[in-house]
Amino acid sequence: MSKICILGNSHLGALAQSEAGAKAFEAAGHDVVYWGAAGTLFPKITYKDGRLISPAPSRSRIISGGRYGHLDLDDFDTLLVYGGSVPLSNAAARIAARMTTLAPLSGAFRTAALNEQIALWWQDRPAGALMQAMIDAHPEKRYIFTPDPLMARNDAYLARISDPVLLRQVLDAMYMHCQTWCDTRGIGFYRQNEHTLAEGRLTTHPSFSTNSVKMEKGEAHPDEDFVHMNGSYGDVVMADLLTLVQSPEQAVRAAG
Amino acid sequence: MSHPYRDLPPAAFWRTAVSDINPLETTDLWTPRHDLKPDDQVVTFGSCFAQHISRALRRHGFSWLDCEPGADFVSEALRSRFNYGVFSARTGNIYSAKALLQWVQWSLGQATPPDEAWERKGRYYDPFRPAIEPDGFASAAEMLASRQQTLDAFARCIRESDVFVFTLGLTESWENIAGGYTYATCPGTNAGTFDPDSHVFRNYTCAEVQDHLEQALTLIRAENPKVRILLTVSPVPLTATAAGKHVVVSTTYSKSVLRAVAGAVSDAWDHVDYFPSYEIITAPSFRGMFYDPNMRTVAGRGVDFVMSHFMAGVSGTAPGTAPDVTEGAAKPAAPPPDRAPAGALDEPDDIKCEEQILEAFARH
Repeated sequence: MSKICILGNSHLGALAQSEAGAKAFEAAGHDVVYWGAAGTLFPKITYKDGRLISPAPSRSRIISGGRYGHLDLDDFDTLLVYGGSVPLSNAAARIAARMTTLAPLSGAFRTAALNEQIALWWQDRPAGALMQAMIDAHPEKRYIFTPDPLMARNDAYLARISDPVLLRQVLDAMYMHCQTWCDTRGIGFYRQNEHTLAEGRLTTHPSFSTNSVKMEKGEAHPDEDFVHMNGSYGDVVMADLLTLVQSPEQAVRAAG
Repeated sequence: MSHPYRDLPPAAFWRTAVSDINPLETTDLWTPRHDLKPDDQVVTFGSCFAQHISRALRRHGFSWLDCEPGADFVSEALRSRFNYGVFSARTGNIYSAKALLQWVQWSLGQATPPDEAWERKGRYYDPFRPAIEPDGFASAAEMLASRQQTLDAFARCIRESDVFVFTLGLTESWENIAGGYTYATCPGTNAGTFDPDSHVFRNYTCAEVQDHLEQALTLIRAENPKVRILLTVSPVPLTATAAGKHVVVSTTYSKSVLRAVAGAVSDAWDHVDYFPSYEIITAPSFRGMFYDPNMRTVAGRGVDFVMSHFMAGVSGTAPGTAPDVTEGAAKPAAPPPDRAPAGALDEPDDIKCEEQILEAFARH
């Protein structure tokens, strides 16, 4: 039986809600452990001497069903970084707003500026440094990464978007940057499943966000929470991730 | 017996100003005709060497006006790669007085710029600033739209500046026969196609350069009567000559003409000053020590030496003692940018010089 750790932040709650996903992984011979830290704690996870050190081990232990305060990487064959404080929606909106000011300038400059903005954004993502530390120390293991899901459709977010086409271009470029980063390190990359997106492909369909629950306590998120997804979303992702995990080689493109 | 030489200062005599001193301790090379105050809006244009002046101004806390900053949120490296922040508008190098006159006429609506575009491998290049986009423009229309932005910015430079710095670089030029306009480089080098029936070599005479320069300055002053002009001559020799002479001979002709015109214009026009960057690098007392081993490009120590005299002149201090604030990024005409200190790009190798493309065409 292979051992898989799905580590991440509060978005793990959607996956943990997926009973179908859990059964499918088990049936396929995979022992899945969830582990991580929510919110601002995730960026404080560090790697040291073969372990991921949690800034709040007691809470990380709850997430892992009582198994791990800190995470011993040697216990796992596959490490799947899910979310990892890589929220695309707000960053894409911010970058797109900046890019609109460059509209009169040449396409080559705009492209270079966009790529630079995305590179700077990614440089600040803690997930990148964490994955790099793990892969440097344990290159024999299998790694898969996926950013946070896009924000669920809501009026407040859409009101910030003056150019939906540009926002979509920015999002695509961000996904491409993440995928290229992963490809060069032999890390599998999972891009959000198109079937979970709302019309316009800028946000997640709201049906995947209602009744989402918190990772640690199982309590419902407030109704106005458009960031976290529910068990239905978890079903889609778990099915995709199983496909990816079962693939004979590292996936080189998104399963979604 | 009294005579005019009796009371002249030491700087007026070769022995006391040159022979008897360490050349690096030369002083009094330039006394500005006009004060340069820190809040004076300075714009810089011209040949490659002009870029050093803008950098020195920024580094020492003077107000260098950038009328085409591009984007305030991208890195200095990216802005530099696309030639933003190199001159006060995105003109690229303006090597000749005739090219300056064209930019002035076009930007002020005195003449219509040609819609000529140079194509290479599906990309489009501006004949008047062929290296402005590192890989060319996507279309001729995009190139022309970009040029119009630069013309608008150039016009703002004329209207909003207190000091207009121009560095004269070359007398040799290639012109379009039918249109009578000059290119930034020879067609077919950076891009485009050379056609002997359409393109003609010119090596401007002293009278022509003076006429071009005076026309340009007249238009600038008519648009902005308060602006002062500061002329310099680039000490950088020609990369190549098409005049049928040895490149050393052509360089001497070119620089002699430009120096003579700069002197004549600055002597005759009250609002025009001349800063001797050319002499500071090329004078025999400096023994060529400021050139790189190729004896063409000016080494960083030479640039520093020139700029120390420039700052000494404008600040009224001894060379090398003007304060280095290293925080004065360009003063933008647009909202204030958040960018790296100007010093981050102060390596001499960063200087942009389209003329250097000609070196690639040397057979040996």
